[in-house]
Amino acid sequence: MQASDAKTSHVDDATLWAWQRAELEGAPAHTVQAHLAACLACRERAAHLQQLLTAMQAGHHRVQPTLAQQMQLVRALTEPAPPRSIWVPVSERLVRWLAPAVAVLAVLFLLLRGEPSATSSSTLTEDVIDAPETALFTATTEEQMQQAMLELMLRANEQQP
Amino acid sequence: MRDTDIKKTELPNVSLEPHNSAAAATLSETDLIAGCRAGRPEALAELVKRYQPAVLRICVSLLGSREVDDAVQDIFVKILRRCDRFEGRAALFTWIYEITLNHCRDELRRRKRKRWFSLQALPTAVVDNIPENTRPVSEQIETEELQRRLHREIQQLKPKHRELVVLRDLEGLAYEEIARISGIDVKLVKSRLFEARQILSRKMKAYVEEASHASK
Repeated sequence: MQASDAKTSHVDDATLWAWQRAELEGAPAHTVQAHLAACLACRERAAHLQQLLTAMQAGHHRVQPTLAQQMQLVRALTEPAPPRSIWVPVSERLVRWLAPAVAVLAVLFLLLRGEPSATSSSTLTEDVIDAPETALFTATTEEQMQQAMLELMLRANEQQP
Repeated sequence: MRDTDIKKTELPNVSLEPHNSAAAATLSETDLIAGCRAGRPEALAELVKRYQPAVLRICVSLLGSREVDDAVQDIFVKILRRCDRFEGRAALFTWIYEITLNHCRDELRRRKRKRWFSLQALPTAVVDNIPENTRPVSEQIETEELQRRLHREIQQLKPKHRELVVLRDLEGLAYEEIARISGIDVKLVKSRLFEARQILSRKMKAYVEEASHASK
């Protein structure tokens, strides 16, 4: 019963719970009160629920730290930390932060590996320098020029179907 | 390697001189947190004395008994590391409960990830810390069985429900405080708590019926 009808429907457990905890105010509180006055079954349920709540709270508040636990905690918080290996925090940071970064870099590398000429300026420069066309223009001796021309001819032959 | 061990060196530099605990007991929240910032041992001991019970209770209720001392220690390490950030806009206990709740959420996620999470029986902390009881043995067993069952049922609630039952019905916090701590609005706190109570009372009703059948 969300909004309790004093005579017909019973009060639902959660509403009864709220009433027991004095959380209901105004009309809802009066309705529950009136219903309980008239309904023995709900009064019994209310009494049962009260017992349950008391047991719940008593059980919860019985959990207390012992003096030894208290002293142990204070000691743990005040004593200087034992010497520790530098690798543990390093490895933790690696796992936490560097691993995803490495994964992203690896993916980027794999994606871009298919187009090396577009990405690597140093490779591009080396390719241009090593090209026979360049060698032809930069040759300073006749021997170098002949070598470059030979390479150009060989490459042209390779490219023919 | 636990967070505590890794970060211990980042804690305020606490001196180990003898301290006056009687004077510390009267410290206001502001002085207490200022003392912790300055690394005064009496303030630190007082902080532990005042808030360890609540932090432990919440951890036991939300996480179960396993590794609960470690969780409490980690929470206090976080409190000390963050005490510079405490601005005093909310009460100190609200701030501490918020850190505790967030730590428990993280811990539950960690356990879930590692498939470690399993439902706990009555926490050892409860068993270890039961005060001397003067009630008749049969009644005592009955009550303890009821509490054990209640604890188990609370542990079986979804975390979003469990948190609210713990904060409202066990710790007795106001709705506004719960909203602030759990980062949801008051209306949502109320509706979730309503659901949680319905689930819990339905389960407990089944248990009570079982128990009464068994006793007949």
